[in-house]
Amino acid sequence: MRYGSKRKRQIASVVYHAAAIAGAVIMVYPVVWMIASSFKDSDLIIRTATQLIADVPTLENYVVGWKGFAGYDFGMFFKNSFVIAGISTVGAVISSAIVAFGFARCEFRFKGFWFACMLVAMMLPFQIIMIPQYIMFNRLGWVGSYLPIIVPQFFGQGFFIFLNVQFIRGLPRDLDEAAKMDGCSVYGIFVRIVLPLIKPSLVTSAIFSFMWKWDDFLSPLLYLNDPKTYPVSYALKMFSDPTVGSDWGAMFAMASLSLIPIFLIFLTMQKYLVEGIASTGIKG
Amino acid sequence: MKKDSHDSKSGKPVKSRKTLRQILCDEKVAGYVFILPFIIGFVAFMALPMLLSFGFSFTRYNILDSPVFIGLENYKTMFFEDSKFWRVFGVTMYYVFASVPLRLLAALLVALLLVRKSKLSGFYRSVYYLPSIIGSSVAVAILWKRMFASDGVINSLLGLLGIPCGIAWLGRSDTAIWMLILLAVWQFGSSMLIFLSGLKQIPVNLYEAATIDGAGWGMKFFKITFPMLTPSIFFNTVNQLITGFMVFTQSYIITQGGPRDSTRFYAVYMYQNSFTYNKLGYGCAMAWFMILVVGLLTLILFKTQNKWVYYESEG
Amino acid sequence: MKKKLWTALALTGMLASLAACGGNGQDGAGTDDGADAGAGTNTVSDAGADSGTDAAGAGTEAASDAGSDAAGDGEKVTISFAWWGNQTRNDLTKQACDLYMENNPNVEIQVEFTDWTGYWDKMSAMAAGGNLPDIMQQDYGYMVNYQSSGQLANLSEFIDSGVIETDKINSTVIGSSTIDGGCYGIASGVTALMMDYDKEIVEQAGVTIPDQMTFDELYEVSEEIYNKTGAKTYFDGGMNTLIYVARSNGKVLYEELAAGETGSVQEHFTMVKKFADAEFAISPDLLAEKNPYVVETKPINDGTTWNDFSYCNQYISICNASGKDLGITMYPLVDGKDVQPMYLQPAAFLSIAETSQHKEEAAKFINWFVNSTECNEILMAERGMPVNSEVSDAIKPLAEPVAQVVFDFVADVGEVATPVNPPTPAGSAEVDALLLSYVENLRYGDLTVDEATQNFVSEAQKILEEAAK
Repeated sequence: MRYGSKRKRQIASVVYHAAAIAGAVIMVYPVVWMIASSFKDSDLIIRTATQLIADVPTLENYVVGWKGFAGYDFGMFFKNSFVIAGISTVGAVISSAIVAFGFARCEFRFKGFWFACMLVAMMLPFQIIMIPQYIMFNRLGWVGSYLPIIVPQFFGQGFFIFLNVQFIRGLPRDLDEAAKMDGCSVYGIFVRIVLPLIKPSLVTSAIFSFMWKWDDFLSPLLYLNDPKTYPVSYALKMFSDPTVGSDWGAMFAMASLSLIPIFLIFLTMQKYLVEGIASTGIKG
Repeated sequence: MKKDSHDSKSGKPVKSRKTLRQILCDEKVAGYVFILPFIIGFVAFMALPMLLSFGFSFTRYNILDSPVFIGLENYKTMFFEDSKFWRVFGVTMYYVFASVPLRLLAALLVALLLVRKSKLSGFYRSVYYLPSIIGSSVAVAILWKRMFASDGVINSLLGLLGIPCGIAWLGRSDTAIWMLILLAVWQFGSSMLIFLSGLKQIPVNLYEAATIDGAGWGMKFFKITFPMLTPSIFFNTVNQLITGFMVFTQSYIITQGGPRDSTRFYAVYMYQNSFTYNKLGYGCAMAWFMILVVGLLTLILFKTQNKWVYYESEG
Repeated sequence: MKKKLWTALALTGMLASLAACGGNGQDGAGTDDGADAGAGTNTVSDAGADSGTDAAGAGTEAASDAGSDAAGDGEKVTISFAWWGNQTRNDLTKQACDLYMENNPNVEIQVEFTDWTGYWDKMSAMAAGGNLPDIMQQDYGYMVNYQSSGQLANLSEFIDSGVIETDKINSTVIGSSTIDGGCYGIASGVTALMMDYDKEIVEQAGVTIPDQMTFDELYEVSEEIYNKTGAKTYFDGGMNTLIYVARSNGKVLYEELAAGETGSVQEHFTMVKKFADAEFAISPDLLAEKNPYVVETKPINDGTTWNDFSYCNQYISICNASGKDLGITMYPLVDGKDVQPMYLQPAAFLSIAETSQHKEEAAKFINWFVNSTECNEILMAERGMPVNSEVSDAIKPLAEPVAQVVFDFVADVGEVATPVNPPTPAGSAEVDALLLSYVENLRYGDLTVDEATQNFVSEAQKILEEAAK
């Protein structure tokens, strides 16, 4: 079926691809610029900014950047980032899906209140609560470990809860009714019916969660003390120092490397976005 | 607290008749079971810092000394004395109301284009998502500054097109904010992704049925795609509104709020007050005013949603 | 309304007890008190894991820090040391710490480093939590805030007892960190204001730049350079110059502002306006685009301007970033004044936290950091010229040629310098930002000099008043 329709619309297809590629070039140019710049001498990045490819490409930035700071290299920082982002993502995706089902499919007292709490928590700027939160985690004795960064992820994240709620509300209810007739409990409906159907939003949550935790430097900044435990996002900040001078070459090099894991996660995950309800074809 | 609420409601009259399993399966109870993680997390990690920050807003607090209660002083200063406050608020509103619709529109258009199945669509999706991956790192700041510099790529491109131009796009108070809006639009990836997964959720048979009924492309879009996509649109709007008001890094690392405060966003000014000027109490007051504004806007969106958002489960 | 007020009051009480550092009040916060044993705990917790990686070789004993200060009999003491900086500073400082640990097997130094902005966010949080690092790198602009709230230990006792030797250190350097009779930090290096310039452009224009000119001379030179080469001139309207102008009047700027005096501000704004209106001035648009306060984007780098104002410890970075041969000269003199406003500015201080359990050990380390040649041979004046004159002389021959320029410059300034101002008071950061926005308004011609002066001084006075509360 796919091949047949493709032949029919060959011309449309050419137009489509031409437009898509043109758009892609605009989208991707700045990223290419960043990667290309990472192969330039550090002091040439700004001065030869309009020129994409360096006259004499160098790997110097990667060598200098990778060795990191004070004997802690980027191998270590990458490992830490994987631990933080990986565990956080698992926690955030699972807990948010569970909570979302409660909000989307169950009627209970004070539901509006809790939902509002969740939204307000989303609106709260981190900068404002970071001092009280620090004091709190410090009292718990968690400062200096990954706990303040990772543990809260296991209790649902507003953004993902809300996202899943929207998806679950988009699912036809007659599925639940049918399952109920078959003697399935609410919990059964969640696990057997809803969970498989909200795969696109679970995947989306996972991509976002991984990316945001990978990029987040504020909580590592606050809660980690030992350079051995620093993640990449935080380490990247240390290439620039306004009081003395920055090594933008090394920063570009390591920033380019740090894109790879998120991009790979996206590449592998986005396949699952393709199959949603559409391909399973329910409600038929 | 959680226990009380359902025990008194559903538990009492039926206690003797229902087994634990039955109680747990009661929707009213099950709802709490499902959202329990959130409640625990909220109470344990959020509620106290939130209350504290609200409390700080009535104090003079430089973080290093203990806070001193000063009543509504911060709010009074904010509304009536701080000339920068309303300027900053206006700039932020301008940014939000320009960038959010544009960004959503871009995301929606691209998502509609990319939902098509083709061998390359995975590739396109990745490429269009790429700018969002690089996020708001220092690298992006440098990049954006150089692209829109007076001697940057954009001006040389304009020169090639026969429009010689030496504008310092980020150096002028009338253009700088649009460069930041452009950056927000360019990074539409996250909204696009949500639209894509929303589009994927639309049952294929609806389209098949419409085709049989002889509906054209436009008809399909307005009768099926758009209504079915409204939950995603709603979500993206609310979410972008919230994050739009909190926009921080772009301004902080690209323009430092300048030129002439034209890009000093609310969150930046709030941060500067809290940490650079050591007035966390004032910063907290600013934060709670912002929460009030964003909260009201969100409330309006929620109140209007039954007018335009279509939920399959409720429809 | 009333009810709300009461809740606010109750909350304030609650948060006051929570925020009071190291306070024992166990309120209804729901947090357990098990880990609340004091400042030392969080550094100790990861000490055990750390000992494996360090090549110090000596420390095989298990790190068991009971929190007592008696550092004898092989009992291991853990000191945390935090600073901001870039890769070079991080590497060199860690090397120095390793050397110290090798020499003093009973001491374990846990390093913590971050970028400038993050550093102060983190220190705020740590101060609020009552667990500042034992040794923190401190800045001139932040010191008073930390000192006045009792976060910093008074080092005078260690200076008096000879733990920190100061006889080879210029007394104005110690004076600069002396507040209310106590010394709250030891400068790890000194720097000085400079004007750097593009030698090639200056030669092309056929002008010579003396060791120190006057602002009027600068104006003339700028005109000549612009006419001959087209290179524009940058004039720093920021706080450094304003403080400098006040010094030429024999005044301390913040005292003037606190008293609401307009004299120095008016003079400064007149100069800003004069240099902004000149034909040779870099346009405010370009200035905003380039941001002269970031080394890598200074307008001198790409030849837009021929000059730049900065601190001399940035000289090497600016040379690298611009790829140019740069000349260095002192800030110009203010015409018609006979006071020399140049001064030696302490770069980064090392302070000890009041909450530290190991003040004496920390003081010993600071002494070594500042006064030992072996340490400074590693650090190589990365935090500014060493304050100890002997150390400075010892490492100068080892420095690279480009760094020699800075050594010589600081020595030259040292000969003419007048004592540095006392540390800036609370509220200075906000006044700084306020000044920048007024200078910008002046450059764009939004305000006249008189309007800007009146408004700035009255607003600054108010900010300082508020901050002093």
